[in-house]
Amino acid sequence: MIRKFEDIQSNIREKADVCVIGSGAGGAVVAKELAENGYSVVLLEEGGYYTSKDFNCESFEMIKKLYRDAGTSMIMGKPNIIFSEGRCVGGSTVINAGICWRIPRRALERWHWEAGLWELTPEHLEPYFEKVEEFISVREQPLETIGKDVHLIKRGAERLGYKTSPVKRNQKDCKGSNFCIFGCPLDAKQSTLITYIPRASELGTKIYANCRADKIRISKGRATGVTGYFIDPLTGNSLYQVDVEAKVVIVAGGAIQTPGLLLKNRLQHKSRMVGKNFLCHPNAKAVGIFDEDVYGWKGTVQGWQIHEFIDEGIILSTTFVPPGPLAMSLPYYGEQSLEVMQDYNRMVAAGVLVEDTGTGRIFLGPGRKPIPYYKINQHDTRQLIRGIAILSEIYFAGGARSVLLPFAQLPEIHSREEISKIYDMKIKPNDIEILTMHAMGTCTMGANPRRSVVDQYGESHDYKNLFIADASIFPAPIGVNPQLTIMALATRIADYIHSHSQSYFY
Amino acid sequence: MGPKTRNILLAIAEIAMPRSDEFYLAVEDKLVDFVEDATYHLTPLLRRLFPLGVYLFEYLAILSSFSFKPFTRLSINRKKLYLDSWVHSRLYFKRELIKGIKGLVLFGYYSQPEVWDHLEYDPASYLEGLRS
Repeated sequence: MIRKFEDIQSNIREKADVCVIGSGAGGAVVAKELAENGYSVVLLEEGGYYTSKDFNCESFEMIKKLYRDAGTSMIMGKPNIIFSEGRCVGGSTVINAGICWRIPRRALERWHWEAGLWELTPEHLEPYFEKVEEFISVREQPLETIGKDVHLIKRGAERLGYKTSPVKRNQKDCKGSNFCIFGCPLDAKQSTLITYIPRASELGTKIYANCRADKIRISKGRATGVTGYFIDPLTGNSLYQVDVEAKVVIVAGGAIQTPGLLLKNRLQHKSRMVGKNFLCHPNAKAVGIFDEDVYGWKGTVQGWQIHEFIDEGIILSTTFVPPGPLAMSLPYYGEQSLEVMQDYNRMVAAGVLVEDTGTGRIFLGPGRKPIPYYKINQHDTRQLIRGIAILSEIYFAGGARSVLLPFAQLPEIHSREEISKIYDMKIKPNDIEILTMHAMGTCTMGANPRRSVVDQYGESHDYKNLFIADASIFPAPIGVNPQLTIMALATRIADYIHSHSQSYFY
Repeated sequence: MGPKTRNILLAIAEIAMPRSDEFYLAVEDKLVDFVEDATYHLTPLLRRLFPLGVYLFEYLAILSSFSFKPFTRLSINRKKLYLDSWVHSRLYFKRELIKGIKGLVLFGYYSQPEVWDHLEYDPASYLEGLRS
C-alpha cells in the first residue's frame, strides 16, 4: 500500500520490525528483501508517488515532480557542480539512464586494502548481483533501440580504434523513447518504482510518500524508530507526523541526505567520518554538430559506452536531452542561441565521467539542511579536460563539423586541429561546467570503527540496529554507474539482517 | 516575486530571448512567469539568493562603464554589451549568477510548443508511434 500526502488525515503511528528511509536503489531493495522473509516493513519516502501515467514530454514539469529542488541541487565548491538527484518513490532509479555495471574488480581491490573489506570479492558478490540482475531484467541494450547519435559516436570511436560496447540496462522491451531521465512512460526501464516497490507493497510493506524522515530515535545505543513529517507537495508545509517504532532502522536516503539526517540527529560517530569522504564522479558534456540529420532524441538515452580509457578512470557515453536543458547549458543567448539550436536535430551529446581521486564533505547549513562541498583537484580536472579532448576527437572522426565544449573560455572548436586549443588554454576548474548524478562515500563502510561509519554489512559501528544501505557506504569510488552495486549491497545487507534475526528482532 | 524583480527579469528576457529575422516569438512575459515558477522550486538557499542576484545584476551596471544607469534603464545595445560582459566575465561568480538567470529564461523559451515546432522536435508524436 502506498499512501501519499492527500491520503493522510491525521498523525500516524506505526509499529514494525523494520523502518526504511528512502525508496531508491538501496531502500526499495532492503524493503522488498526483508518483506519477502516475513518481516513487517514501513518505508518512508520524502518525494511524491508518480507512475508512468504521470510521465510526459514536458521536461520541466517532470523535473519539478521527480528531481530534488527541480534539478537545481548544487554541490558547492570550485567550481559549483550541478547535482541531479531523484526525489520520488523509486528515487534516482526513476530518473537515471538505467546503466547497470557490476563494481569492477580493481575497485573492490581498493576496498579491500583501504577499508579492510576482504569478504567483498566478485565471487562473493556474484549471487547478489545475479539476484538483482534477474529481478530488474539487466540486459544489453538492443541495437534497434539505439539512435543515430550512438551510431555516429560509435563510428568515430571505431575509426580511432577505441573499444566500445553496448551498455547493459535494467529494461524490458525498451523501444528507445529517450525519456529515461524524466521517468519512462512505457515502463520499459525497470526502476525500483515498478519492480521492488510494487513487490514490497504486495508483501505488506507500508509505504508513505511525501514523508520526510526527521528524527532517528536512539535508546541505550540502539536505534528504536523514526519520526517523520508529511509534506504538502504544493506548499512545502509540513502537516501531519508519522511515528514509527521499529526494531531495525535502515537509512537509504543517498549520499547527501543520509549523512545530513545523521548529522541533524547528532549521530556523528566516533570515527568522525559521517559526511566526509564525499565522492561524486564528476562529469562534463560536449556536443558534436554534424551535417547530417541525427534526431538524437529518437533512441535510448545512453545506449553505448566507450571503455578504451576505463583503466585510467574515464568513461565516455552518449546522452541526449531536450532543447530546454541543452540550451541552458550553452553559453549562448539571443540570436546566437537560436542559430546554434537550429542545428538541434544534427547534434550528438555525450559525456565524460571521471573516477574521482579527491573527496569533499557534507556539512549542515541553514535550517540544518545538508550542503555538499567538493573541490575538484588538479588530477581530476586534467582527466575531465582530457576526456573532453578525446570526445572531440571522436566527434570529428565521426564526421562532426564543430564541437560545443563545456569550457567558459573556449565554447566551441571547428576542426580536429583545434583540439590542441583545449590544452593550450590552461583551463581552470572554474572554467568547466561540471555535473554529476553519482554521490557516494559519505558514511563509509569499513572494518575499522575508527575510520568508518558502518561495518561490512552496513550496520553502524556506534549504534546497534541502525543500518545504511545506499551509495554513502562506498569507501572509495567505483568509476562506473553505481546503481547495480548499491542494489547488490542492499540485497546482501538484507540477507545479513535476516540470517542474524535473533540479534535484531527477538 | 516583487514587481521590481519581474521588471528586471523582463528586461533580461528581452535581450536573452533567442530570435532571428525569420523566427520571433513574443513570449517575454511567459518567460518571466516560467522563471518565477522555477524559483519556487529552487533549494531554499537559492530561492532567497535569487532575487538578490537579480538586483545585483541590475545595480552593478551603475558601477560599470556602461553609462552609470541601472540595467533596466540602459539602451538596448548597452544592455546587450552589459549582459555579454557578465556571460564572458573572468569573474566566476558573475558567470555563475548570469548563467542561472539566463539559463532559466532559455529553458522557458525552448519549452514553448512553437519553438519545438520550429526545431522540428516532436517527442509526443514519437512516443505515440512507439506505443502503437
